[in-house]
Amino acid sequence: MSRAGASQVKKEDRLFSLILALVSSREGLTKSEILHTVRGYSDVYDFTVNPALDKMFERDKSELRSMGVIIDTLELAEEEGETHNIRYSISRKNYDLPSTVQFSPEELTLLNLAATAWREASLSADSRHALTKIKSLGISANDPLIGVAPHIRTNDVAFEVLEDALNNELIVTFSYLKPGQTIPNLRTVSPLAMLNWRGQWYVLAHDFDADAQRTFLLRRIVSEPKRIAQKTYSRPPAPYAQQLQEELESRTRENRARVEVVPGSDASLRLCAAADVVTSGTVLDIGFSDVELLADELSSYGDQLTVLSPTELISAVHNRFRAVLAVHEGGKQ
Amino acid sequence: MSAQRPRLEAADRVTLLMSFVPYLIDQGPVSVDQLSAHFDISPEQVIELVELLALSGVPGADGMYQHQELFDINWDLFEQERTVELWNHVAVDATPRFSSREAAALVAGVQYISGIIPDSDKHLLDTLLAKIAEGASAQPENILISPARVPVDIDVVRHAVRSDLSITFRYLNSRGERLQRAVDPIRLDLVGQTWYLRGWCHERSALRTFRLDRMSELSVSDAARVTTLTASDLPAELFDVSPSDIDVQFQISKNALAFLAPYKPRIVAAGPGDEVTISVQFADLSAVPGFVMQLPGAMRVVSPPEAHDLVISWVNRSLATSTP
Repeated sequence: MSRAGASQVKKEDRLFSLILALVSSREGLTKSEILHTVRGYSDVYDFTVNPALDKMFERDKSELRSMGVIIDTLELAEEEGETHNIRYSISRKNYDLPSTVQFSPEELTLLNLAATAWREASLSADSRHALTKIKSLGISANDPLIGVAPHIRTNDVAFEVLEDALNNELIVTFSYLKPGQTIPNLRTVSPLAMLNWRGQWYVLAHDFDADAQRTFLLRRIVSEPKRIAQKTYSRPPAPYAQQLQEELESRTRENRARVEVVPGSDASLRLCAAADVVTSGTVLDIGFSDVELLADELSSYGDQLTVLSPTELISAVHNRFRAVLAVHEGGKQ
Repeated sequence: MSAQRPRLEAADRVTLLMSFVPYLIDQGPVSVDQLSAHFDISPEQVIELVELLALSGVPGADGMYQHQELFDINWDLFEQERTVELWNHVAVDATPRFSSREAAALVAGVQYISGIIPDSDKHLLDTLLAKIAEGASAQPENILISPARVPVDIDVVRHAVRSDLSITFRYLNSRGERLQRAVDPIRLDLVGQTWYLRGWCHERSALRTFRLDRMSELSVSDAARVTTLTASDLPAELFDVSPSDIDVQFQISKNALAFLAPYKPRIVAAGPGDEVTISVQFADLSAVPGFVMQLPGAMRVVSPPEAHDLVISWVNRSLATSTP
């Protein structure tokens, strides 16, 4: 009758007790010592092999890691190969926030905003936890002159699975629909970085079929990404997100569109306020990283602008108008 | 903010327990209410956590928890005055490090809002980001959000607030009308990549929301601030739903629903196939064609007929203009 779930001890009690036991033990504890002594395990452990309890311990370890608490494993030389003699511990060096990391009230105000920005998005719990830790330093935020309420958007269906894959170096598959194609193709990738650039989420990934890095736009992923079980991809550490950002920036410098806007219109006002736009009279020179994305944006202004070049952009905008017309005239009947 | 406190999960509670320890060591006796306000949880949640903390500790080799190896609090003070004083702590005493994902969330969030940092303080940004990375137990995950560009000089807004004055600007509304407005700034809302100003409009004597990229000639006005409303008094909804709003129904594919989440669509009918009929509120039908253009060909106006016809005439006009 030693099911792991039979313990009366709450999960937070067990996890916190595990942290305390592993921090305080100098030589580390073996798994059987942990199961035998730590609250939440010890009350159900009966010295017999218990796969449910083992599994719970494995899950607890990875849950602690996701909270920022890293468990070290030590194997003493004379015990090598004896897996039941692996010792687990948490070093203070890995646990304690370095004393050099202090935040001013002004910085805390920014960090508060950064955390609230995620409130309705995927990383809300993680940003909240980070803020809780910062609050334990005892500082209070200063009152900003004007309130700010930021909202990060992670509406793409693929976001959560990809972010989880990024965090855990997993491999996933998804159907990707390139503009101009009607049949999506299946891609097998491991994410290297995720970047929100001008309101769109991108993922830079190692593509296993191409055996090279590829960039994908999340809104073009048309199936929910599926994890390939048991497989991981250990990526060499590198500033992949910056690399992707630089790539998009350089594409934006190279690809230019010319657009004539109606003076004083919404299009004129808003496009002139945007980044990467050079104005000369009513003609705007707009940098873009992706012709289809720019067509999405420009077509929403309707007759307030005329695209002068390039030709792909002109036809992409036309296609959008015709597509809307087609479903509406067809739907009238 | 405190009105919508999420339920605490086990991970939330463990993080709070880890964070209570250094805070209580540093602060000395702290009231339950202060802990509740500082960590933004309810007083009941504080009490529950403190009771758990006070019984936590390091087990002996036989699995028994000995008194000197347990946390201890001043129970009399806790029970009689709802004040927490830590008498003994074991194993940990410092703030825990961030996880790689926690650090990444902060880094990305700070970059996202970095447009509001005054130019004179921009150099602090790199220092702050470096400190977050240094405080993580593993390399922060590779997630970035490029800063949302602020199309007007926010220092004008800050200056007005500091001097208790309103601001004045020219505004092009969604109907294409050019207006001159005097507004008491209350809050800046950043939604995706778009900045909005929410404030008390002197001309309308009402709360109004303005897109920053539709403003021009922004300056501090001579008119004194009249509203006493503050940022926390504002409703979370960016656009107030008014009884005169028009209910427009669209047919779209279920897969496309996520893109429209910011507009809070209401599903009114399912089918045929994986299509759904949704209803979205519009203050003015003139915004409907732009809305439809978000998913060209994948969204069809069902009702009212005026909206349907408006989309057709709007698209025809656009096609004519865009054909040089």
